[in-house]
Amino acid sequence: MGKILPLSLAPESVPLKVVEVRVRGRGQSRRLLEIGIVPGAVIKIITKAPGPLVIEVNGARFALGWGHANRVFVEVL
Amino acid sequence: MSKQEYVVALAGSPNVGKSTLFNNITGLKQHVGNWPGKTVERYEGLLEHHGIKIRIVDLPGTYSLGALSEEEVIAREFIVKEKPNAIIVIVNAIELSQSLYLALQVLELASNVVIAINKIDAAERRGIHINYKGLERALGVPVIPISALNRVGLHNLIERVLEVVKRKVKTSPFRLSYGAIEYYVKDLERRLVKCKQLEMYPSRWAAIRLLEGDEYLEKIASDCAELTNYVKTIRERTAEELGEPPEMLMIERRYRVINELVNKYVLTEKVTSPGFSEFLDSIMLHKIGGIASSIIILLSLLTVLFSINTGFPLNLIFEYLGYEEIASVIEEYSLSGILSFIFSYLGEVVSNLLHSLGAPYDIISLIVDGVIAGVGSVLSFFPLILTVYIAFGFLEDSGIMARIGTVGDRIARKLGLSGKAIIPLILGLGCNVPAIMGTRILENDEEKTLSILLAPLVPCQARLFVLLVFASAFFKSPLIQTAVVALVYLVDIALIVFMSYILRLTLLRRYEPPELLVELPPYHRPSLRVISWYAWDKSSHFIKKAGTIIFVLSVITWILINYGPVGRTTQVSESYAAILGKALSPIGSLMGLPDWRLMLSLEVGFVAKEGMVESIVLMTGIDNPVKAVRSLNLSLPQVIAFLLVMIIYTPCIPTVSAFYQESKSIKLTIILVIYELILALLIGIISYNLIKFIFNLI
Repeated sequence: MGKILPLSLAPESVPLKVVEVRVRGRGQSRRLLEIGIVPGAVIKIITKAPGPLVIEVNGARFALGWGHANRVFVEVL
Repeated sequence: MSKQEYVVALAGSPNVGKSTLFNNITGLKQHVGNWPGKTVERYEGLLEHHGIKIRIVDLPGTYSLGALSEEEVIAREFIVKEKPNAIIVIVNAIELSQSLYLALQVLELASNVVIAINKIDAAERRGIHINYKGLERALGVPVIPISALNRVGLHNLIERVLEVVKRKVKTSPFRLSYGAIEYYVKDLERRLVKCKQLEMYPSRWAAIRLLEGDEYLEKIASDCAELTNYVKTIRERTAEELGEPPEMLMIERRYRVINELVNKYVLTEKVTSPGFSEFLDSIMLHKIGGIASSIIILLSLLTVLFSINTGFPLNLIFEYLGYEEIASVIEEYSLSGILSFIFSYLGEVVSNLLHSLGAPYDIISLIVDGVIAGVGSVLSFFPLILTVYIAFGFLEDSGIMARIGTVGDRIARKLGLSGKAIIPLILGLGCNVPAIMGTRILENDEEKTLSILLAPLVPCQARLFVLLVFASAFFKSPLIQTAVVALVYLVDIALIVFMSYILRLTLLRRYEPPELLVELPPYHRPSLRVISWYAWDKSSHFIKKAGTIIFVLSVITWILINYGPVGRTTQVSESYAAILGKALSPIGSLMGLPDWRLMLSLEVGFVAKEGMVESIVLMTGIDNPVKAVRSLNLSLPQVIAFLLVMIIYTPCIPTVSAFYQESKSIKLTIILVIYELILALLIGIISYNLIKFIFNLI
């Protein structure tokens, strides 16, 4: 079992299991869940540079701002 | 055969190929409008299949049917209120889990659903095999494999849709069970019945949405205080009992079910070589390579765009290389060259015809210089707008736009925007109208307000043309010419940054730039057919809406220039326009520009900025635009001040009209016009005096 850390600090190109998503209110952060970043999902960071984080979830790629990335907690598998 | 017309709605997430499908099944029988009271476009098309008429309504592309955006509400309200005879949900074979999320939500809302799995050919190539029959059994509605781009399976799709429309097949949509929350769903469903405001919604769906904290439904049900209070209590209770807010558990649940479905019915072979998309992404998203390639792509796109429209800068390149003939050919055969040729030819023909009929001079001039030239000025915008829309479509459809938005996010943040806003602003270099319309892709209202107020400051092609004429009129060396153009652009960029700051300190005090969350769809070859259709449609839609006002103002300008207190005059200096220009010249004097002709050309520039040069030609009576401008005899501080004012001051009528159409706010439109006028005046005064001061020192 790896340790749990925010997505923004997680390593690139390795499978990460989502453990927790801190949804703030009813705002846009709920979008994170709707694109499939839900607890249990396995995601991967494609690249952290430049600027936003690029992740892969269910075979689709998304660019995430750092604020979003700080709200997702993952475990390195 | 029935004469009845059926209505079929198209639903799908962004990037699943919905527009391509819509376009390929409806052909050219399409109609575009707006959803009532909204700026979101509504596309409708007519399809005839063996004598049966089907009206296809393209719902806005959304990832979900929640109430997070206007588009989502529009889509679900249409399904509930207008009760289409069938709903086609398009999902993407390559990213099936992603797009099934929306499909599951539609299945909760309606039963007459057909699921079209798109991009099956691309999926096969990637080693993705889908068991359609199995999915069909599991979901309880027809599941049809298609490729919208290559028109595979479309006939079959329509046949199956008609079976659902005519109820020849009975659908029994998959019902997702919410596990631990199911008890509360059923409980709410029973209590809902008493609330009259909600009775049009399917009760189970409404119960699910309320549990998820749907603000839109809560507002509708606000008269049923008992119900909304109850919803609040059980939302809190579930959060406490289960440790997480109900919406989290429900979205999790949906994805778990989707994963089960995908595991059961989708087989993915390992494709050994990394895909094309992955390879391109390693460049486009690279720390340095990404920014470099974004800049190269945008610059080359703009060069092509400008060259097609006005010949510039391709003509300069050829001229520089010594091929002056080619340069002049390029200029002549650019879209604006061709259009101006057509209109001057038309004017000549009509003028000769009227002469031979013995029409009085005034009437001939009104028709030729007023009406025909007015129509010409309406149409002269068309290629500008159209080509920018094509560029926009190309970037969007190919998947490049999302990448540029991603690498541009950090830069956009300095402007208080997210990366998504950067493309409309950059395309504003071509024409401000599509830039303003392009802010539509922004979800956050305040971000939209900010970028729409900044977009008209972006120096468009028409303004570049005026800039170039002035630069080449007053400066001999190409080096200094370039320096002047660059200086004006730099000052303008600085002003955009400055205004963003000011707007965030005043109008948008509580605004925080939204976090980026954007899908990076696989790259693909854009469909020229689809792109050009949408570009054509959007541009002609705009011209139809704004055309009248552009035309009327062109004719009014003609009257102002051709009439004065003494009546019809051929001397511009005796016209109403000149009187107005002279009245404005005290203001001009503040900026060191006392010449009323400059003020008059700024008046004309309100209709169309490229008309400014033409008005100077008219007033000086010198045919060559560069020589005409040179005859104004301006000093360096005057030239710079005038050019800055020209770039900054109130945008042209089409831009103002696009701004109003998009913002739907008179208040914001007035703010825009006034802030740009004040800014232009201030910059004019400052730049003139500053440059003069520096010159005196030297």
